[in-house]
Order: sequence, then structure tokens, then C-alpha cells
Amino acid sequence: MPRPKTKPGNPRRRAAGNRVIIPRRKSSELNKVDAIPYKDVDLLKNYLSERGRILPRRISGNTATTQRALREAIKRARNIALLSFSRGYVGQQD
Amino acid sequence: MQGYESVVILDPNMTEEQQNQLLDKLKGIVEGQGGKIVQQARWGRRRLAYEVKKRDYGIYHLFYLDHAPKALKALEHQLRFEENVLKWLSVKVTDVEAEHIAFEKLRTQGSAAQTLSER
Repeated sequence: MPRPKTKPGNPRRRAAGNRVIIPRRKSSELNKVDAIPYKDVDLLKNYLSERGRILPRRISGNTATTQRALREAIKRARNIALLSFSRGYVGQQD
Repeated sequence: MQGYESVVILDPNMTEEQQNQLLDKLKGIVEGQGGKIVQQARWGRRRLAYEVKKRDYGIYHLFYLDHAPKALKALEHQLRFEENVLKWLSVKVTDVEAEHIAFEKLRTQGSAAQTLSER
């Protein structure tokens, strides 16, 4: 009997051993905002991983347009030292 | 009104007087090139997300300029020479007044309110 096919479009069905991976998906509230302010650090931090990387759309639930705007905002914030480029490596102070 | 927004990070060790002196100087440069500073805002002393020129803190200051490319160029040219300027970022904005209002709102209500008290 052939193995049941996993649906590529739905990560919930993807079998990884016996584990079922349940992604953190949320419909992003940013999708309703018309401009993303790069100075609003606390807002941007919701879309960063612990290490300061930008969360992918599949986790944040952003639309493509929103994600692009968010990316620009985060990059601006990093440039002006409001956000770090990376954090949590050994030896870093905070 | 279309224009620019410039964030300038000053050395945290500057006195109030030195800051004002520098800001006035920059203002003069902008106006000398036919630009106009529509609004100015002081964000205050903040902790930097990473070390810049061996400093952990910086005094954030914002300029809102009208759309005068020459003036912005002159301003940025001068900023390069200022040792007390740690970093700056200029962005184009479609509505200068709206940006300023949005910032004031963010500063008073939002997360940006967490500036540290002076010194």
C-alpha cells in the first residue's frame, strides 16, 4: 500500500516522523496598517526572532505587500541603531 | 507636503548647550542651501541597539525638511565631518507634517516613550 501523500501546501499535514508540526500562524494585524513606522521598535520586535532575524511570512501571516514594507522598516530601524542586526551570540553584552 | 525626515544620533556626552549649538549650525546649513526645516523633534537619550563609535547611548534628534535635495545633500555632507554625530538616517516622506504628528504620537503614547532621563 502506498504511503499517504502529504499535501505540500499545508504544513500541518506534513509528517515529520510521528510529529505533527503545527506552525505559529496568525493573521497579522499589520495587514490592516497603511504604513509601518520604522521608529516603533516595540511593534517591529513582534516580527523578529530571538536572534533578531525577520520572521518569515508563513509564521507572521503578513501579506507580501506588508512583508515588504515591514522588511524596509526593520532595515531602517537597524541602520539607526534602534534594532540590532543580530543578537544573542556568545560574548554579546545584552 | 513631500520632504525628508532625518534622524541624527548625537554623542551622549554632549551638553545641552553643545547640542543646541550643533543643531543651529546644521539648521543654518540647510537654510543656506534654500532648504527649510519644517519641524524639529528631540527624541532624547536612548540606548543604542549596538555599539556605535564605542558609545552605548545616543541622543536622538529628528529634522523634518522640505523637499530641497540640495539642502539635504549639504546637510549630509556636513554630518560626515561632525565628530559628535554618531550616525544618521535620512528618508523621503510623502507628508512631512503627518510624519511629525505620527512621531509625536508615538513618542507620547507608544513604545518610543521609553527614553532615558538625561544623564
